[in-house]
Amino acid sequence: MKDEFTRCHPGLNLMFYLFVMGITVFYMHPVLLAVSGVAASGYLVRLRGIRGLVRVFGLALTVAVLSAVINSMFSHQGMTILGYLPTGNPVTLESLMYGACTGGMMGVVILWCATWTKVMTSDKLIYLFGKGFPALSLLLSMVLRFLPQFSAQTKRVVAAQRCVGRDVGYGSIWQRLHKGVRVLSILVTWSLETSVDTADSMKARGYGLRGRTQYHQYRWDFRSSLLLAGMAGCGIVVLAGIMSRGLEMLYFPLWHMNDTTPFACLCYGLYGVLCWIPWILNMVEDWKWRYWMYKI
Amino acid sequence: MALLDVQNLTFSYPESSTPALSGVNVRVEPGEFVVVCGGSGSGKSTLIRHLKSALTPHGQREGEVRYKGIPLSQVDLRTQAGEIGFVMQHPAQQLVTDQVWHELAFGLENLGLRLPDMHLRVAEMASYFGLQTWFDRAVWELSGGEQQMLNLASVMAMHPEVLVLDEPTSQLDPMAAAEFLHTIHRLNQQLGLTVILVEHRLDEVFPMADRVVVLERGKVLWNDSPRQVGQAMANHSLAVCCPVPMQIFNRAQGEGMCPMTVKEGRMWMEQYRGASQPAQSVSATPSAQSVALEAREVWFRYDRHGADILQGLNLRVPQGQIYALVGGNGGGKTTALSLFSGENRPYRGKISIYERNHDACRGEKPYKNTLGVLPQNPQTLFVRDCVGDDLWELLRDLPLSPKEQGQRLAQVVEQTQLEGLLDQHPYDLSGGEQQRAALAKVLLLDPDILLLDEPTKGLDGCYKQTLGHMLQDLTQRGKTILMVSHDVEFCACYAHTCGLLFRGRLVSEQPAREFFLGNHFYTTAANQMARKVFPQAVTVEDVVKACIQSK
Repeated sequence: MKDEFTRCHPGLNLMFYLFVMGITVFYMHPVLLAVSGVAASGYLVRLRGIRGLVRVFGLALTVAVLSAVINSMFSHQGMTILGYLPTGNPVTLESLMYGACTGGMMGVVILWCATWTKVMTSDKLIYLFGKGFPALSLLLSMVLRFLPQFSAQTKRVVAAQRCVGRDVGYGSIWQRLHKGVRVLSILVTWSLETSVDTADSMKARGYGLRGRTQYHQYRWDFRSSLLLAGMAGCGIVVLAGIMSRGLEMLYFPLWHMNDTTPFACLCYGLYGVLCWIPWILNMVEDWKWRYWMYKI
Repeated sequence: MALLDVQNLTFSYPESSTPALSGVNVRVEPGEFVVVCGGSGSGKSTLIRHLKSALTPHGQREGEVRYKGIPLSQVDLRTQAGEIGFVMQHPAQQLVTDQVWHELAFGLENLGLRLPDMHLRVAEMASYFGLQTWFDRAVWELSGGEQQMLNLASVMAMHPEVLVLDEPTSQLDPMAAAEFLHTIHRLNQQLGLTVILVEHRLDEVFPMADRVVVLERGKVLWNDSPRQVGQAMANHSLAVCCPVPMQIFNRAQGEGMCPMTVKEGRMWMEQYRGASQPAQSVSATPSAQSVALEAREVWFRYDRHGADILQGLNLRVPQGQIYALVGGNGGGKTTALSLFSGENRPYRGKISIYERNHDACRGEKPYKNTLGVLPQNPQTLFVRDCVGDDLWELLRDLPLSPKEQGQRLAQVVEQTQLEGLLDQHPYDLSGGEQQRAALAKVLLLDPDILLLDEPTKGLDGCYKQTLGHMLQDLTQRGKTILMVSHDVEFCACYAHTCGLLFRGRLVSEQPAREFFLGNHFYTTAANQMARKVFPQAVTVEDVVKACIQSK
């Protein structure tokens, strides 16, 4: 499925992740975490379907639960005592909550990372890196080029060895290891040989001349500026909320969360908008498309 | 003023007593299409690597190369990078980046072009070469032919004045090779681009070339128009690489203008019209006692929901024959081979070897003694640092006494003419030599049946001849050979039986001679040229004999 957000400028993608992940990681507020988690799940469904979500969500949930259990078993800070462990140590509500929130934070980050791999494709990373570290970005591109080539050659060599009765998956462990090492050693020779050609090709095409520029196909248009302004607006309000203690969360010694003031609600809402931006973009686009089709 | 001028160039590699090039003089005028050819080790690659400073090998050098009148060493690298385009042999290894668009732009980035200019040039090249459809793809998903086309396009994006190509088609199948060479020709004709091409597919490039330079042992043997060179080469070992009409003309001692294309050849053949039809010797097909390989109603597809690649294939390969499976790309030839070799299994139908079910052979190491498979890329067979070690490595594990091992090695080395190459690194051998070394490795196992996938890929005419004789020799010892090939001429000369595979089915199967006589398009150049006059002639040999007899 075409994803509107993926098609945006890589800079915009990066800014989005910086805002969302930054707030998620550095300010562990249960409501913000919940908002962020739900938005990440929604976007993940959009990108990978329900199956994709279930697979990632399983991992995220395990992390959250494990963290809550382990933290409450080993950390005994906090004033609200729920009961005692067989060892005699108390289980406190605060440490349970702290563990759950830490785990929740990690889970949400996992969810966002699952979307990141779909959105931030290698060429976007290369473009973003290339601004500051051109050599590094080329290296990244070459590595991405080399790995599939290497694995393809490995497959070919293994298949060819099978043709002459040298099946790597056949025989005792020692024999297999022996054959495996043979294949590996010839692959090293092969990659050296290959890299000589690649280096020649790079030299022949003028690599190493001064003033290398970078080619890309991305355009920063008005829409991008608008989106960035929107994101920045939402982000700044939330940050202001955090700074002014309008949003507040204390875990120890006694847990305390800010009251549901109108300002706090505004912050929650705007953070929600921020997190849902990729999803909203898609919806708007879908809706527009249907509208135009209807008109035709 | 000459665009490139090689003046009295002598060059020897370090630690080598004989010079790789001695006293070479070549002038290339703007807009010329120059073909450089010669046997392996004749110095052709060394010569053209001197045309670009970045690629010039290290060693002792005398004489100089001038670009537009200025010694090349004084032309700055930026100018050279842009104006002298270079395409090398291996398609995949020249690619630097992972995406097609990035590869197209790589050279432009190095030159430091501004973004709008890059956009224009990339767009231009993608349109000219028809790359729009795969613009966003990863480079490793492309076929060899597409990769080489991409290499060409990304060099062309830098707007070179001269294009230098070092055996660009040697790793491509014949279809892709022909397409690539035609693209080069089009660039030369439409844009007036100067082209210097090292190539051994002379039959394709002779009609395109303005001039042919033949090198031998580092010296220029001939440097003239293709027609002149073709006639001069008549008694040279390279003559078998020439276009078929030229070979026939030379060997029949024809008079008049030497024909280069089938069209010209047909006109030239007119003088023999009405000549008596020579009796064609009936080709001696070894009488088959038994069936070596058989496929009965075989169906196969790679994907559960994919299209069927083989659709009820029925195929019998008689023992002691060379059986050639021909057909266009995507006809299922290679797939059929992979079923015989046991790499894939049919989902319906039966494959049998010597009338025993393939599955029954599976348990007992089927690849020993019965089947020998030569992969398309012979390089993948080698695992050691020298050819001799590589062969010994395989031999050591065979259940033979040391004496027998020695005998077998000696026999195989003699059969494949590897004497002198045993100390070399397999990766340093030429394409033909690699092919022979790989064949030797397979033959060490003494298989009864040999499966060959595109054995003539990247071989020049002389090596093809050697390989053909080698295969015939093997069948005389009772071996059976099943090969898949695009190379019509090779199949016509050496195969006993040919089968045409189309859409996963065997459309026609006949002894080689009848097979090609019956076809109109899928037949040899010799037959196409002579079919009006000598309808029974298939190979160059046949036509030459007919011509000489009728004189």
